[in-house]
Amino acid sequence: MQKSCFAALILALSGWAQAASVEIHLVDGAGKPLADAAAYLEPLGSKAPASKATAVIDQVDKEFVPLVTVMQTGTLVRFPNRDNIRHHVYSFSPAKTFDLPLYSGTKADPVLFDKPGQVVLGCNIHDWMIAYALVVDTPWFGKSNEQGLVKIDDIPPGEYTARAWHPYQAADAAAQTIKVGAPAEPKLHFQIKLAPQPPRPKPKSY
Amino acid sequence: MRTQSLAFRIVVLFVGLLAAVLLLTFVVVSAANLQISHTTTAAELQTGERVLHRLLEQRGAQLAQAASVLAQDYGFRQAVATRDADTIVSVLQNSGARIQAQLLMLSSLDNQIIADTADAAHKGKPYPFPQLLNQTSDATGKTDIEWIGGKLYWLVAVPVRVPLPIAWVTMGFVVDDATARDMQALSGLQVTLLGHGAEGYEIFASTLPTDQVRALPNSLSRADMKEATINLGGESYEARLTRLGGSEREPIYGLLARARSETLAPFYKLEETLVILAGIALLLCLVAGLKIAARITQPLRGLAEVARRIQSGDYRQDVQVQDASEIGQLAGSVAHMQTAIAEREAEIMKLAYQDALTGLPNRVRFVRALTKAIERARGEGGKLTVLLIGLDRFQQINDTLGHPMGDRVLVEVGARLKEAVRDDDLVARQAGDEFALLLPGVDAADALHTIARIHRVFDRHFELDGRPLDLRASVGAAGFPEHGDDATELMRCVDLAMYRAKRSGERQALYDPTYRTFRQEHLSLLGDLQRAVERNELTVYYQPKVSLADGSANEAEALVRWMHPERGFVPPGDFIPFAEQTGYIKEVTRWMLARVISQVGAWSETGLYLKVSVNLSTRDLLDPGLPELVASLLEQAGLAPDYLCLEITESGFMEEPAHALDILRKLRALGVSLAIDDYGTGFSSLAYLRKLPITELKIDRAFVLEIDRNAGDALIVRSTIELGKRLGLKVVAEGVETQPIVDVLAEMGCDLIQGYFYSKPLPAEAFLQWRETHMGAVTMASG
Repeated sequence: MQKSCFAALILALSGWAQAASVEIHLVDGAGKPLADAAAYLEPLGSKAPASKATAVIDQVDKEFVPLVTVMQTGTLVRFPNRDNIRHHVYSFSPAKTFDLPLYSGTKADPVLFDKPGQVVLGCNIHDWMIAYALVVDTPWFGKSNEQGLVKIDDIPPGEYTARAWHPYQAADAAAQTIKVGAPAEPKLHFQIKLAPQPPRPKPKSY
Repeated sequence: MRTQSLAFRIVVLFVGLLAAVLLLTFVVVSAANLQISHTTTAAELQTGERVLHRLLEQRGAQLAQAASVLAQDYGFRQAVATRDADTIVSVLQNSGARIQAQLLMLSSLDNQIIADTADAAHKGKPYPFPQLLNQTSDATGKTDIEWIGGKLYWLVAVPVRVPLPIAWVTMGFVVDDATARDMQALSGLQVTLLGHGAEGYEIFASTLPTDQVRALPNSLSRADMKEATINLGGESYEARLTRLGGSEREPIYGLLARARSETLAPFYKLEETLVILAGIALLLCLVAGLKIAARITQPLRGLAEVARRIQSGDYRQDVQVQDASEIGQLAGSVAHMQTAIAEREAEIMKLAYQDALTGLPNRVRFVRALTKAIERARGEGGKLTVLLIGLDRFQQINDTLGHPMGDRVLVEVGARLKEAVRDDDLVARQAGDEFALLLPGVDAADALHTIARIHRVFDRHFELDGRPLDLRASVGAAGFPEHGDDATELMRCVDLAMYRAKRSGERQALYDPTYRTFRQEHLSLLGDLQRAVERNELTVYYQPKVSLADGSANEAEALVRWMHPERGFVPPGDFIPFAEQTGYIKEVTRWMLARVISQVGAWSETGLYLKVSVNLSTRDLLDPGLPELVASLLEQAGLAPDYLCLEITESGFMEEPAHALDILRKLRALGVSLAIDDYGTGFSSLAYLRKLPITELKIDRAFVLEIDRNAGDALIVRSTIELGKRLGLKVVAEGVETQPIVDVLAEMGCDLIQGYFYSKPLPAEAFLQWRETHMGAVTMASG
């Protein structure tokens, strides 16, 4: 996140005069603020700059932290193990298939997420451990906080397609087109219907 | 054992009571057993149901575990995630072989078969058990029993996670008879697994015998069945049906059953034991009852037998007194009773058959013995003789020495007689002073020896307190068969013979049939005589006594005459002796006294003073009421006693001298004259006569009849007259029939003469006429 902020700052500095921010509100089917949801803007007609960013998905107390990670294509993700036991992180998702056989500490090499798409991460040892990653082809993205709010800054003026995503979503929310750089700062609103959350068979103690 | 017997009743009571208790126990136990078996079976079926479900749950959990292991295998997951079909199938086959699953299937989340080990062609077809997955998408897997292609499967489905579910692995195990047997081993019940489809029940597995399995669908017609009793090929089962799985449309059940025979077997065993025990108890009770009954009834039967024999006269039985129980007491009482009865009977026998005084057999026993002896003699053609011994003048002894002395004499006589006869002969005391002798095998002629011996018995003096006493006896004899055919007859004969012996003075007489006719005639006269007195058939005749001094006829003897309505005149000799024997003479005498005193009284009232004498018999002299009677008759008639004279015979007096003397003195005290009749025929001495208060002496006709021709008679008469005169007695001569006799008597100084010479006895009227004539003649002669 710090890296991406840093990248966004560079972007903002490069086009200072025109740079703008977008606030996106996300709610669930019942209209309640939706946390851990992703929102991102894809430029229309131009390619977004490539990323050199990195991300970290920790394993703490036999859980992936954070649950949801949003990243730009080309991000290197590290999987440091902060437990005193070993984990075997894997993914069979088409966007990124990999596995990091049993390891502990920070020995595991970073994994490059080079294709956009949704990646579900699991641990071959602990079935209940699960993490979701959304890989997008744009540097303008964000993850909603507890208030269901995503704020994206330093967006060069232009026309963009705005999309929203949540790991538990029943279906993709409809994309919206916005124009950045207009006098009025645009505010976006997404409602995402959630499917029932699948059970996570974590025993109380092993 | 008779039904009325005590033993039978005791045994029936014992055994019946026990049988009733046992029957009741058996019924109660059987009912309880049935109830218990029913309840127990129901409980067992419920337990079996829980066990079955639990078993399936455990089995499912094991299956789920096995399926989970497969689903979590990384390689498998990788294969599934990468849709590597060949790898998927090979992994499934490998895993299936490892856990011996018959069905292995991978299906997509949208219920399409991805891989099926059974048939690769199934790929892409719909998943056959959607309901298994639909219930929940549980991460741990779902188990159920399903029914496909005529087979029953125990299925488990687990999701394949990567880590989100991407597919389902379904594993299945065929449920067959082996499974059912496992269930049976755990539950102890017959287990049948079956489904209900469009075509009714279908049996998949069962522990029941094949034929019963075939019958099962028909027995399960009831759709709402939960618990029931079903009948399979003759075997009855308590059954419980429980739903195991399957769809609502095609449910699958487990049928738990328990054979009633199996359930009831221990109870039947128990009942069998009970019956055997009851049988043993009844048998023991029967034996005990019989034993107890025997202990009670055996002594009772013994006592009953004793009592029966006592009844028949056996008093010498040994009565066993075993203990102090009531029966023992009874036995004691019976024993005492036997003794008491024996003693009493002996006493009674003694009284009945023995003479208390002499200890000899009595008359009754003698007659019995005689009867038997006659029977024996008749059978053997033998003979016997009966003797009757009468003591002469025994009454004198009683009267002068007292009855105690008389009794001692009788005892002594009895003893002597017993000594005098043979052992075979029977001596009995007949009555009073009579003894009877039975001489078996002796005829009347031979009996003379015995009679002689009997007489010799009396030759010896009897000593009474030092005083010698002479005693004589008269013996009558009668023999069987010549004199009588039975005891009664013989006794009558011997009685007559003894009487004859006594009368004749010969002291012994053999029975003669003529006695009988004599006696019989008199017997018939007895009744007639009684009637004669009542009907005044008797008449008084008077025979004058003429004074030799002046020829006057102022005295007479009254004589009884009997005009029998049929027989005509009955001579006094024909009935007087008989009347004396029977005692009826007393009536005759009283009649005579009344009639004569009345007549003489009547004459005296007309101024005719005649002195009349009346005869008294021996019996009359024993009648203590006689003096009073005479006194009252004289008073009634208003007649002075001077005009009555009473005549007695010597023999009559000698029979009972003491009594007779007493009565004579009383009569004399009345003023009545007393005469000795038939003087000279007896044995009395004149000296003895002196003691008597007599006033007259009548010389017996036997001496008078030939007085004019027989010097001896004349001498006797003369001396008698002289002696009488000296004693101050008036002397009368009887039987005077001729003038010469009158002359002799006149010369001898006789006072009065009585006889046919003057007149035979005449009726009163005729007598008076005769006297008139006579007195006229005398007056004329003297005048």
